[in-house]
Amino acid sequence: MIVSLALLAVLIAPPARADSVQDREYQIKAAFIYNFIKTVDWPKEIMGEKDKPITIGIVGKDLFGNAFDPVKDKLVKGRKVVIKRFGTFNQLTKRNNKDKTESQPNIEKLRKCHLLFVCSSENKDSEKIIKSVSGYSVLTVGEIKDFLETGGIINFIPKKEKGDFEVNLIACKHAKLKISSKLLRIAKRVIDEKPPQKDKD
Amino acid sequence: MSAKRNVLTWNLMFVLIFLSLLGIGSQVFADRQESNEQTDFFEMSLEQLAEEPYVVKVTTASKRSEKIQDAPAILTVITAEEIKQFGAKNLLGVLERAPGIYTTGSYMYRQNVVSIRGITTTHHNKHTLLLLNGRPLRESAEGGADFPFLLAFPLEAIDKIEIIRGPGSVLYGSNAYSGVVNVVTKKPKETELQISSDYGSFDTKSSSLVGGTTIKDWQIYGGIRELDSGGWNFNATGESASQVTGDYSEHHVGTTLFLKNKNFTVNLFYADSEQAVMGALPTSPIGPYVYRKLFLDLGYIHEICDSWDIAINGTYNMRRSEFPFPTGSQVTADTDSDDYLLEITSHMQPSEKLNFVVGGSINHQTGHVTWYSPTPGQDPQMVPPYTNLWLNGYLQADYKVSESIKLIGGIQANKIETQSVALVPRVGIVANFTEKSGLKFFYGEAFRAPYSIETSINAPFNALQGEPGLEPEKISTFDLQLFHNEKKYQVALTGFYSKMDNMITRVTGTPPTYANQGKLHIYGAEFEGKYKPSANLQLIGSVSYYNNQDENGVINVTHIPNFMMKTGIFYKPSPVVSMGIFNSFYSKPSDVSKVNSARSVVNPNPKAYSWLSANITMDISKWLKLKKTSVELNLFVDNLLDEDVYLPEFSRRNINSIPAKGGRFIGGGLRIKF
Repeated sequence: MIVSLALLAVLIAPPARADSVQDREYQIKAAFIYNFIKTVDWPKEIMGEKDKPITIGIVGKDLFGNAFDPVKDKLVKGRKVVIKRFGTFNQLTKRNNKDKTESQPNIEKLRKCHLLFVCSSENKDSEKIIKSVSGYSVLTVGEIKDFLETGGIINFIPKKEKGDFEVNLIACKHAKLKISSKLLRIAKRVIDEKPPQKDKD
Repeated sequence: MSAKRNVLTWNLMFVLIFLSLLGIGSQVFADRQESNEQTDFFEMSLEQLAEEPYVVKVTTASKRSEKIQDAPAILTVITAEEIKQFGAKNLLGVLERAPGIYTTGSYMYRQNVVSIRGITTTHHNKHTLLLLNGRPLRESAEGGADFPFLLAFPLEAIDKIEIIRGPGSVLYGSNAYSGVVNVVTKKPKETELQISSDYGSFDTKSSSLVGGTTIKDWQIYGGIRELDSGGWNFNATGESASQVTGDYSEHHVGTTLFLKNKNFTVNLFYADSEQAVMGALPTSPIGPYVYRKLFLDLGYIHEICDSWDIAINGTYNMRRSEFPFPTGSQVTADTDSDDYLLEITSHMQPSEKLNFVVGGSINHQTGHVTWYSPTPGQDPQMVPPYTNLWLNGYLQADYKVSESIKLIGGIQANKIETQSVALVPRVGIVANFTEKSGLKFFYGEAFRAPYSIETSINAPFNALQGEPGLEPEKISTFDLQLFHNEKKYQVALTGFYSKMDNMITRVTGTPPTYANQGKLHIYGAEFEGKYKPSANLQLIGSVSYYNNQDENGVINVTHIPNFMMKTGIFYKPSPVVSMGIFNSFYSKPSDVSKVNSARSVVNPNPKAYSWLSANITMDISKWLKLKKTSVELNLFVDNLLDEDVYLPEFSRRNINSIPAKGGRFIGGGLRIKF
């Protein structure tokens, strides 16, 4: 009787609900992103007033679930951190097209993020996303092949078993961001400008 | 209320609590925002995060890293987190909670046996192979005197324990018979240090120091632990109506060290153990069994290319021990052994679908058992100095027929001393129906070699004579497991059948000796599950049923409980307080009269019992306003129900039982982590 009850109890345990899935991979990536915003400096005019929160935007099919929950109780650079989920880029641009009187308000929202995470679902649109925030001080972070080559700043190298990431310093400088040397030391690959060759006399 | 009804009532209450938390609590707590594991990642530095794997992997089943559901073995993992959640006094206490494991011992080898699937025929731990970071701890004199490792190992240095149920001889040779236990130690990420100190019942004091660091290319992680206990009061009647009373004290100092520099590794374990025992026969006044154990492994791995590497390991196992003889007249016996193992292993992955591991080893063993009698002129050699040479070669391959089906095959050829070459094969299939569900099916064979105590003993007073011609015991096993893994819960159902052959048993005579005789059929089912509705609530449990029958149709001849039910609940209601409760229920074991009808009933008969423990931890760092240092207070209660536990005296079977465990233990301590 006791055996049956115990077996039944475990067997009929309710399955995890889709909106509360906590994948270890995305927990680790969320913690990395938290560390990125701690170790990257934005221009003062972008940071704004002291009570202005730091915004992390997620574009694409969001697999983070509740992974960013611990951030709610933490301050970074003395500021709160807010998470904004935008859905896919395709959905964003469709919403834009519905109301052409507004000047791409949804794309503007991307540009107002301090850090924009581009999910792997946006593989085909990643170049467009990066281009839409080009010239703005947005730290673009992806998990897509060739993300750096299309202008992204930090990329979690796909198909790896842990959080190996790479950094594009050229794109970083273009966005007027400063990345700490500590972060660069841990990166598996860093794209940087070649130093100018010295003239040979 | 009768004792039986009391046990059942407690278990029913515990199951109902388990059910209510599972069914109701999961709905209440599923939406809780706070997450233990998430918070832990957010507390890590970038360097630490960079080392965290996305998926926890295992290495024991194939001697290479792979996901649990892909591993070609029936495998359970106990994590460092679970060890901390539920607490334990020693490694044996941790293993006791694992599915299918029953820990036991005898009048001489207390706390020495890790029985898997009810397979135990001797008080030496000969049917479960213990590994440290994948390397074998084996001693050649008796083949299974393992209590120093089980009692002295610093628990805080453990990262995880991988437990295989089923044959493992293809890769690991002798003693990987009913299973393999691989203790994997932590590896340093950043500099860390932890100091612990505890005090509890029976005047038990323990302290440990564990830590690690990286210096340039060096990774160093180690720990040292000391436990000293005055012991619980042992009071029993032995053979020949002898009355044995005393404190079952123990004192252990254990240390472990892991070093890595690029491709070189060093693994070290040293223990100085002493525990009070009845001695070589269950007739003596209590005396100390002293045992010094050294394990040292040096390894080097060379990557020939991305898909091919070769590793060489030299492993040294040393034993120096002294146990009291039964006469009570200051007679002791020394058992010493020095075993050197040289092993070469190569991993190859010719394609994405195909993996090979091939290897071989030479095992050079020396030792002796000498007794020192106060009477002049007596021959001191119980086991004369011996030198043995074991050789083996092995191959295991796995091939992915498709994305969801993997075939496994392997074989070991081994040459044990004067025996001819023997082969142990295994085959199997791992099939994933979906990303979350699948099955594993294996057929495998394993062996355990006869040891010098069985082949060469010449005990005084014609007490026992060895048999040089002994052959290895053999086992063949069929395993079938169905598993299902969700993000928040994992369940697995396993059925198995094993047949033991060539069992090495003692035969009566003048003198008594050993012989290969007897067969045993063992079958059973195991159900295990983990459920984590939120990071601050976790439930784990297992239910197992085993039965065995010898060639004469006698059932339950190993005297291991047929039925075991183990359930644990961990709850962390706030960042400061956590509580882990674990209950292990064991059904009544069979009487030794099954094998020896002439046994005497001199002590209470063993009965079913529940071993309930509670572990409460409180983090007081914030109260002390400490930012980088963690300070925790801990309360641990073992045998909360204060059960009197007697075990069948299964070693000699002349008396019905001996006391096995002490009464309720209450202990508390402090942990400081820098």
